Amino acid sequence: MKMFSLRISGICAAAGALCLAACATSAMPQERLIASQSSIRAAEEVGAEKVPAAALHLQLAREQIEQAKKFMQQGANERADLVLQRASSDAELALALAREAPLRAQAQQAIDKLQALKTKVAQ
Amino acid sequence: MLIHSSRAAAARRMAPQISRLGAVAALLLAGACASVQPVPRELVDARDAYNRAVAGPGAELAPAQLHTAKQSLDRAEHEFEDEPEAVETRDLAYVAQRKAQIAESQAGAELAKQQEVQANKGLGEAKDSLNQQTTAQLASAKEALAKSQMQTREALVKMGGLKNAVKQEERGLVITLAGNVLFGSGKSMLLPAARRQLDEIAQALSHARDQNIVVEGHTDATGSREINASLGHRRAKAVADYLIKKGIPGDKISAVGKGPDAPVAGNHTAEGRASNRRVEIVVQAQGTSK
Repeated sequence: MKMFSLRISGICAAAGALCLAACATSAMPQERLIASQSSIRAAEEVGAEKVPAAALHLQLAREQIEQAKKFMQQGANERADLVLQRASSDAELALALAREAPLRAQAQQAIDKLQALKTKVAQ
Repeated sequence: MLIHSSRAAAARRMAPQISRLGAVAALLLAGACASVQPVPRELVDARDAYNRAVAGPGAELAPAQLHTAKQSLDRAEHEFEDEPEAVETRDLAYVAQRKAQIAESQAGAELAKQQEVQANKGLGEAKDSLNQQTTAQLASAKEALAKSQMQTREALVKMGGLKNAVKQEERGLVITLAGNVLFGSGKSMLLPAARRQLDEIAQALSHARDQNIVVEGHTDATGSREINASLGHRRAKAVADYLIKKGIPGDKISAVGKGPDAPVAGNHTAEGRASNRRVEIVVQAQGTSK
């Protein structure tokens, strides 16, 4: 009887631990949501809207945040967390592309100037 | 009874073999199932994006971001091994693809910065080269001009009659011809003697083909200023036209009527007035300006 009681209490402890773990992973991903929104703002600030490739990823990020909010309302927090990871990665890519575009344009401008001057020197 | 017991014994002997065969079959089946498991499109894209980033300048220019991309891809691959059909696998693969694209973009930005620095450096060098080239061309042109002026002067000085008529001034080489030698009084038609003299001058000026020549017609102050100015111009034009006929390029020569405005002597004596009635042929020091 004593042995049986010990087994029961062990099972309960294990079940409790599992329940805690489950509850922890399914908490609302508020921090992830804030981080995603912050990444979107960063991309907007560097002019991602004006760079077509960046604008596309910015749009995807916004759509995924809305999608994640719906999952959160439905209590599907794990799914929401992953969708927010997708949103963050799109926003970060938009930021990178928006920073890259003017640097490429400046480099091309300098290369064109150099080419024109070289042609002039050669004449 | 004996037969039955022998069959049972045979069945007992076969049982372990049958169970081994079953296990092998189950393993084969599991293996077959694993091998045909389709890879999600997101994971295929993520692998492609990572391979592209690694093959590009990312390894050198964005190694940290490339490392992050590799970690994301590993997470997606592990998830695919554990749960091939799970939506999480596709999500993690999607994130991994974006991380690889970010690495590629950061490397592209760094490369653009380097290219700009390199191009600007080349631009500076090319400008220096062009300046040196221009300076050398200018020096060469100046040298050629000085040589040409010297040759023209030497050629003019060789003509005995013009020896004292040639002067080097700041504005260039000036040949002064007396008005009474070139024209009749108040006229602008060249005298035959003047033509011979101008033939020699035209020949000497052939050394100055790249230089601008200005012919100035000067008069004394007797009579109306307007008439003198007009006479000065007509005389200068007559000389310039004659020189053009003799081969001096028309776009290099011009005629100016100065009238009585630039006397070289006083107009109160006959000698002074004679000195003022003159034509000056100026071979300009600057080859480009008229």
